[in-house]
Amino acid sequence: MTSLTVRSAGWRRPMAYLGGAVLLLGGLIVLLPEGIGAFPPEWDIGFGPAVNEVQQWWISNRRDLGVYLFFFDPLSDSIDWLLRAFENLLMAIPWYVHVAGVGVVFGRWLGRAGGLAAGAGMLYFVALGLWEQSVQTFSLMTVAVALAVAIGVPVGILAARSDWVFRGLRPVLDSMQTLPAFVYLIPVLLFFGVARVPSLIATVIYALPPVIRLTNLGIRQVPTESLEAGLMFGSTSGQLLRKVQLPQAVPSILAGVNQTIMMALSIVVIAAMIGAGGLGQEVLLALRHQEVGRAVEAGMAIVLMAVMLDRFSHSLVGQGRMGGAHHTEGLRYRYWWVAGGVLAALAIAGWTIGWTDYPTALQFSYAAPIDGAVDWARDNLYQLGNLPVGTGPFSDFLTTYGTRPMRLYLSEEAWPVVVLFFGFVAWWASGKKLLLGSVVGTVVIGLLGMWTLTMDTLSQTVVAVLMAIVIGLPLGVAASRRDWLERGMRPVLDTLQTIPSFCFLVPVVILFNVGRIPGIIASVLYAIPPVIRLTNLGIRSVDSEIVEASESFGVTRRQKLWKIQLPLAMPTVLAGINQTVMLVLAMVVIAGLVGGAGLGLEAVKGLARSDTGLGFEAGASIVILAMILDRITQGWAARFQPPSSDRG
Amino acid sequence: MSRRSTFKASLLLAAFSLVLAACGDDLGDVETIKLAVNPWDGSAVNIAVAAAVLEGEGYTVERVEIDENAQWAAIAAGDLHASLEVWPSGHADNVASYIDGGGGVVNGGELGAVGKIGWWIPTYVVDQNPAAGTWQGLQDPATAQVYATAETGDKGQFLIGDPSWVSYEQDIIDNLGLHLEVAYAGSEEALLAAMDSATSRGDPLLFYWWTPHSAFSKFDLTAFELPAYSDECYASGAVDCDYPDDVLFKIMWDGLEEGAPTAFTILSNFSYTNEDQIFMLGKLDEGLSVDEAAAAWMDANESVWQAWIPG
Repeated sequence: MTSLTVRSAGWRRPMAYLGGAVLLLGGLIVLLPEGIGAFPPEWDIGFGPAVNEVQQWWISNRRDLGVYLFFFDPLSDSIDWLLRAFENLLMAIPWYVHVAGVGVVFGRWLGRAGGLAAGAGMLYFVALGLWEQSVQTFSLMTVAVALAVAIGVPVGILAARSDWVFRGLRPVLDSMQTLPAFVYLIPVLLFFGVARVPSLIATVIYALPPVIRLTNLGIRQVPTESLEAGLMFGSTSGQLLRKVQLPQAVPSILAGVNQTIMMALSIVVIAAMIGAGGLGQEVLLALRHQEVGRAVEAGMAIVLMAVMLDRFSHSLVGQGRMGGAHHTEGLRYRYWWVAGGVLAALAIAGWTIGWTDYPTALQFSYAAPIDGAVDWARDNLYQLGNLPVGTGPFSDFLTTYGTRPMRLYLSEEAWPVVVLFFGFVAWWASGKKLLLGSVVGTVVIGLLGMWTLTMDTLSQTVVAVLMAIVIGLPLGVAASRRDWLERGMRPVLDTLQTIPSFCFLVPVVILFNVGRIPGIIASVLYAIPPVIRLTNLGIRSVDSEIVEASESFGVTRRQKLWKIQLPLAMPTVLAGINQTVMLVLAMVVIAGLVGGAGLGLEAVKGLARSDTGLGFEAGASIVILAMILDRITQGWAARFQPPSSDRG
Repeated sequence: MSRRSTFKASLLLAAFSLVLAACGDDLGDVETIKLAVNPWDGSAVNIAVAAAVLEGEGYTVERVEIDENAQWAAIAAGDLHASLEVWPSGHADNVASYIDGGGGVVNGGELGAVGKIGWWIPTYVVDQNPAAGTWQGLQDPATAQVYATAETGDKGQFLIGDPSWVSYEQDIIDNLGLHLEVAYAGSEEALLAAMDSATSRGDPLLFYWWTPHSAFSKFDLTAFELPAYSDECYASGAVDCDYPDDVLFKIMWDGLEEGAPTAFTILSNFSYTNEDQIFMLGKLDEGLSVDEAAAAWMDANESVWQAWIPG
């Protein structure tokens, strides 16, 4: 029972802090002299113009620069060659060989059902007429992930061996993950030319961090006993790395590769904006003609690719652990030899009779019903007759009473109040160090000249996160009580997280008007899965003995939930909220594309007007905001974590 | 020719030696012509026609989807060779630094089609309230209010799409004393979706748009009345009038004439009218692909594009 009393104290303390915060805020507003409003624009020391000057210089001189002639250009040409070769190779093999081949591989690792499902997934790409685009996207992904591993593993090893490198690397990795890709599309274009190569580089930049993080983690987690044993046998540090540390870190590294694949797939559409082609291009083309159905078809192809690669890399992790010990060597190889032989025969047969294309008569499309559904929603959900019910009035309500007043308050109220309020919340969440960090961070945002825009984005973030919690928490609780609901939700949540948000772009505008609300709705759709998942997980993993003990005291279902399950699940739930905050901030740019203004629109402007300096200023502000909010929510999660001594 | 392009050309020479052996025309060193496709349909059909003509002459054509601002740096470097539909009103800075400043891009002549940016409203708005369709009307706060939304409060909302579109909205609004607030839809797609949503209910909407565009076949739009364009109005620095006609033009890499003389001549001669482009945009709406639309136009207008090819 001791842990229960600790919990209820843990509940009361935040309330006291919240009261303190409100008092502090009120006091400051009264005490501060009139006339202090938004961060003074004349204090803008923005580095934007300097960045643009460098860019301009590079543009006019790059044709004569040695680094370009002997480094970037050959590098770009060879990557381009590699990509094209890979693409051509895949395209040369008839589609049914791919379908059967993927089926065979998955069948071996995941059983017959897995093999059939994978084959059916492959058929989707062909039957919807998305084969060429899928091959393009797939080869870009493969080369990007290969590059990420080739760079990430050595860097991860370096980070694991030196705390100094690790500490220096952390903010860089954080920035790579939170800086919107829009910001560096133009610079990448300048270094690497157009089309596939810059898209590939942008993908690598975005998707690299997990490999580095998890390689580092994997090596650091190797038990010291193994190392000492190695040292005892007189291993050199190189031998230790190759023979002891790396083999033991393999599962962790593979988990990192898995995450990298997922992240790479999540910027397929953005990469298409600088010429990546493939499925991303298909989504963009469909959007240009407002063909939501076609966009969803291509979007679902990306989801399928993600799911298949995810299962594939997970089974790689499994294989890595087992080391193939289950199969006798002979049997293993015979399966692959036979399968390979049959596939090769199929391919040769296809080439000789010249039957390599999928028959157009068997093509399939479900775009029409989706377009119909969007039209139906526009005509029926926007507003019910003259009643203030529907998506339109909801959007107006949320604007009038939610985002607009909060934005005006945050951006027009005296800036020191906002800075101090941030500092207070940071101190409450995690202590003095974060207080300092958040004060410096918010002031830097002001000095970048991004104060008003950041407050705009912040107010949208707060509304989106609150919405995700209000909807996600009950869903998570419901899922934790019903197994069928949990099972049914899983594919929906997977889809929400992997389908390109661009697919929602048109419907959210049609239903919620242009402005800040459609962006918020799209962000909630994208960012809600972690809250649901981790609430469910948190409640399910509450110690059953405690629950049973409480039941023997005769508590009601509601008491059980509020007094025992939720408080004990709090650290996990907060970890989910932390992820949700990060995902909402990752959607800032998408919000900019549907009228969300704020930092997102600024990043879009940076790309659209080749104003890289502006893009970087907005991007830096997003990174700072993301880091502060990340540390604050992590701090809260840690606060609710029971001290380990309590557990025993 | 710079060392970089020589290097590229030699690579291409090696790669396409077979093709070279096969035709042996004076195509030049650059065998693969890379054309920029900007994110709107007009650009896509131009490029489809150009690609078909160039391929007919033995070139390999590669189309690269790229933003209209990002393309300048790529063309200057020779990574791309040409873009065929530049809207002058939005590219004064780029013209100054890349063409006039000797930045590696040359003006490839007029496209022939003429664009027009302006303010537009659904026709039913003026039918119900004629004053809402003129600038004098919107000087009255009550009239401007028909365009008000939850975001803009008391003022009317003026919607712009993509932030890369260079526009004088704020100037026009301030200088004419209109009770409007500019809001960014953020993208062309979002602005189209907003039109779709508003017209389905008959809601008022005032926005920045341009012709030729396929949206006119889907929505019944009327031009909002602004004071007529004059050179003095733009020269004064305080813009308070309508947009000028945009005489669309082509841009090319400055090494193209030497690297691929035939392609350079074809692209320089490339020219057709608004009607030609609208014909193809209409085909796209009928469900044809860009290349099918281009082929349909080329079948019907063989004399036009044959004249571009040097004899």
